[in-house]
Amino acid sequence: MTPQNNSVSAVFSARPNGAGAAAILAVGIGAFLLAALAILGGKSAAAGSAMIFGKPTGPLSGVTMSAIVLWLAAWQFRTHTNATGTSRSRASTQQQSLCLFSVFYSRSS
Amino acid sequence: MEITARSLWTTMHGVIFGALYLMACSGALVELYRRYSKHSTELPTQSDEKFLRVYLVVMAVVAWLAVFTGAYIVYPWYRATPPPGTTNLAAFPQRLLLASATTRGWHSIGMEWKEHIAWLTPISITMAAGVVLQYGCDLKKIPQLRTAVLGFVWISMLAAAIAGLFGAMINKNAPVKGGSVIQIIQEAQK
Repeated sequence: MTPQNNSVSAVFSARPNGAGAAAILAVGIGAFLLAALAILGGKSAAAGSAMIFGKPTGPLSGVTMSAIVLWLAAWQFRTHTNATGTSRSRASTQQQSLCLFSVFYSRSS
Repeated sequence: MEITARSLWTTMHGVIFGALYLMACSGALVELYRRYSKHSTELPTQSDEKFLRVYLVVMAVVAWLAVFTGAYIVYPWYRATPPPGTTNLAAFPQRLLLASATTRGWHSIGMEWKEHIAWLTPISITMAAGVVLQYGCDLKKIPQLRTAVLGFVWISMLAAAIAGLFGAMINKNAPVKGGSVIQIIQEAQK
């Protein structure tokens, strides 16, 4: 290790990545819920009606607001449970990929 | 030179907030890669860190403004239902698009994609801003986290680009217009 890298290492100590991983996982959860609620609202008339939080915007208002609230709740929950821990980022990345795939698949079907 | 109120709001949503966000994405990607790359031997200064934090927070604010103005101001005008017997659908963009087989796809595919995928943009960039605010320079020592943050900024840019492209094409085929007329420049009467 070169002296320059040593000085960089001395300045930055590795922190637990739990909080960061929690934020990333929450995005995956939010993306998945957005897709799931959108599909549910489109397929079921009752669910679509229930999703009308604002009449001018229609079911989109409930779908997006619910997804945002649940995303933020998941972020807060995961942050509290992972704050001092270190998560396996690879598993989180796979979950995120699955969630993003579900968003794209639901829109193309 | 004049513009209607609805056109002005549509322009603000797409050009001011949307296009500004897309342009800002390139800066965010370059800075995140350059500052926190493991190959970088430069130590980010405090002012550099502060700048990047403010930059990402402003990007998140712009992204939320874009989706909220779109969903709660422009979209209701887009999906307005015409009164029975209406033949001129110019003031009802969604119905105008659905009225013809050649333009139906702009709604059934374009708008359906746009109104959902756009929400990935503010969610992703808010996460990226939150992680950078929390970790700062420590991202250099956690490459997986840095890679994930970079990846999600890419995703937010891709989502914004898709939404913007569809929005531009939809507005080209069925523009949202109407409401009060705003005079930008008053031409002299001849």
